[in-house]
Amino acid sequence: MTMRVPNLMSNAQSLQDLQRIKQQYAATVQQLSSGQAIVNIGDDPAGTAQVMNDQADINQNTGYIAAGTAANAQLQNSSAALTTMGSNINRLLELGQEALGGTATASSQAAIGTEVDSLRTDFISLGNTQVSGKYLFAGTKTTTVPFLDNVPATATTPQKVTYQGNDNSVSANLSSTATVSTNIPGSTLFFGPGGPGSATDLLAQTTALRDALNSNNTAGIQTAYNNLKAISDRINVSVADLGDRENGITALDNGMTTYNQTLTTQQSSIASVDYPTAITQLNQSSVAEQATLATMAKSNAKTLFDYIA
Amino acid sequence: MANLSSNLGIGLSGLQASQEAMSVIGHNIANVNTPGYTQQAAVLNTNPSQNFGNLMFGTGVTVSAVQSLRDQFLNLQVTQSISSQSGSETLYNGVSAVSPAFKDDGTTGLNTQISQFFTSLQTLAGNPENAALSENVVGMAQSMLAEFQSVRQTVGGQISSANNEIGSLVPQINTITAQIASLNSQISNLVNPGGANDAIDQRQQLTDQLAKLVGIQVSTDSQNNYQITLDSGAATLVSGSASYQMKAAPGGAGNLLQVSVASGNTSIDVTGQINGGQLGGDLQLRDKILPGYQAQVDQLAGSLADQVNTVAMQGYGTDANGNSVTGTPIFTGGCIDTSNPPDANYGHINLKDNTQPLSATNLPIYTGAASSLVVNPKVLATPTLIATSKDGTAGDNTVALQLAALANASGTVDTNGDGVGDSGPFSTVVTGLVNLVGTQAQSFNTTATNQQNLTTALQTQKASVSGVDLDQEASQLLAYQQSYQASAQFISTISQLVNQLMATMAAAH
Repeated sequence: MTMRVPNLMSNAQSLQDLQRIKQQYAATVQQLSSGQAIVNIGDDPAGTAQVMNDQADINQNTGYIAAGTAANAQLQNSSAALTTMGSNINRLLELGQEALGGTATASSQAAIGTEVDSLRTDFISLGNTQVSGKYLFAGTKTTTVPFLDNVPATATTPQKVTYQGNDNSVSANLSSTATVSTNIPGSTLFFGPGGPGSATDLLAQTTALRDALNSNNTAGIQTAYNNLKAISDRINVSVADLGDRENGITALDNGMTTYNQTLTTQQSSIASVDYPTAITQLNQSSVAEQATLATMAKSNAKTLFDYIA
Repeated sequence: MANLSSNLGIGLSGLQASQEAMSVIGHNIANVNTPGYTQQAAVLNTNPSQNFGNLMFGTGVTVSAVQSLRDQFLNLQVTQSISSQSGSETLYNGVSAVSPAFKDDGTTGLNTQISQFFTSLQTLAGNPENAALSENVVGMAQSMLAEFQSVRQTVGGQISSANNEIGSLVPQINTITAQIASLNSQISNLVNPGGANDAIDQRQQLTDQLAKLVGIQVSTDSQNNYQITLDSGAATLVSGSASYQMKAAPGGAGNLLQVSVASGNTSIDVTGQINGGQLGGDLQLRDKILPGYQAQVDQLAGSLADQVNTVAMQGYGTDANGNSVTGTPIFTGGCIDTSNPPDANYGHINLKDNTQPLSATNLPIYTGAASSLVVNPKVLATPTLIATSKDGTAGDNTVALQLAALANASGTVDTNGDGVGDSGPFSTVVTGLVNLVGTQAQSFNTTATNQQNLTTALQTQKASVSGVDLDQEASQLLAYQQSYQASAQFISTISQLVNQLMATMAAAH
């Protein structure tokens, strides 16, 4: 069947095709100039949703990584203080051994006692370690000085410290399911499981050692020494514990960083323009535009009227 | 018996018929580029034979009519397709106009701002004593609310734009329907065959213009009048020589324009009963699609504020004097209970009846949350009032962690206003909304493109029947030119015979 092709009709169809080609060309130019395959959300709704979901995960992981970094900083500060504490306890043990040696005299004991007293002061100072305005060993009462050396000895009781902190832990969220404690309360660290004044209390045992040395009390020195040895082991465990926490945080952060890189790559595969494909498309659109224009020019060139004399 | 005189008449009829036919061809050629013009053709009929003796002799030819070559069924199909195409294009344009507001490029966008707000809470949880971090939370909260407001305003602006366009379309529709009614009258009064061809073309053009503006159905009655109703059939726009005026007047929720059509002494409200054309598209955008987006943004904003306030008000912050204080909402605004003294719902999204607790019939009001929420002025003045602690101690970050964890919690968004969280986390709800907008934009674009292709195909078919082809006209012109020349030659021959006869008779005398 032969179909009539009136003049207005052939132009209308070609014009519509030309507009489509130019629209496609403009869209490709916009993709190339922006570097984005998805210029409008209607271009690829599913892709847009996937990119947004990935970005939400990236943002969440980035927040957790930052929390982990901050937690690690806290733990490293605590770890440094504990390391110093450990060194000081080792010195105490050395002094204790010296005092228990056969050559000790009353005056040498007193001299050792002076150094022990100095180490006691250092322990209290370490317990009051403050970083960026926060006391590390006060539990959650981080703006309160945890240890006050304000209870003098009496006839029947030794010199004591007052603990103004609490026993609470401070946590950090490392992921949606993982948390870590970023502190050791001073009560736990210094007093130990036995509580203040007990055999596990570092400050009490240091005080006891000092007093025993000052009074040349060999039995007292031995008792304090034995307790301090156990406390040293406990402190070493705490140092190791802090190190384990730091390592765990670092491993988790590294995993999240790697995962974020994967998500970023996935985003890019959806959202970023594929330059070779886009450039090819641009060339095709350009060729199609020129072909359509040439066709339009030729299709209306002649009618029968041009051939009628 | 046929005589020379009657032969002259036959020749003359041929001349006139050819001349008239060429006039029709000339009219076609002159209107080759006239939109909506239907090619015309002269209808030639043989004149009745006459009886001379017992023989019948022909008496020539007459142009009995000038006929338009149109396919009425195709015309009506094109009209309908134009309505559908116009409606889809309007929907696509409306949704496309707001879609940039929902785009998230990682720097701006709802998801980014919400994420940054909760990240700031996470950072505060790592160092709750740091007042600068509390200020940072306030800053992020303000940025987030500004984004909510911006999105809602963009959608609101498009609603307003659609409303204004409705107001400008109605007078145009009325003008065209009046013109069509007038042409109906003119056409039915033109009784000569083919006398109404040009008027019918004009009427069809106007009908197509009307179809672009509003969804219509067209039928033809026995008088060749166009009967035009809305595409839903809810009201008549043109019936014979009468047109029925459309009216757009403020009313209803938000005082938006309501559309009605006159019917006798009353009017019919057709606001929700127009499907196609620009008017149908604008009404759908204004009353259903765009308010749907706004409602979802409001639900998200209101739910987020309510969830955050609920957690924050159970914790402790610090006032300007360093004292622990509890019960401070982070967000307030027109949609949140700020009763003074605080009642049981203080800090939460308003209920319909604030004196009663939340129930199946006493539901939260999220409407306008996205535009009315603000950071609590008390928190703005003293950012450390933001609760971080559960027990009031400076280093306890339990509540700050709970606030940060809301970002990933499910069931935090009440999407249907029944007071129960049915969706979440917040990022999922935002992604869902963006996906909805994007999918609708893509769908309307596809529909509009398909409709455009269909309209073009139908117009191509219509043009193949009704359009002017210059080659065809030139061919016919040649034919009629030759027939004119032949008839003229015939007349000349008869004339010579008459002259010869008269000369012979004169010589005989």
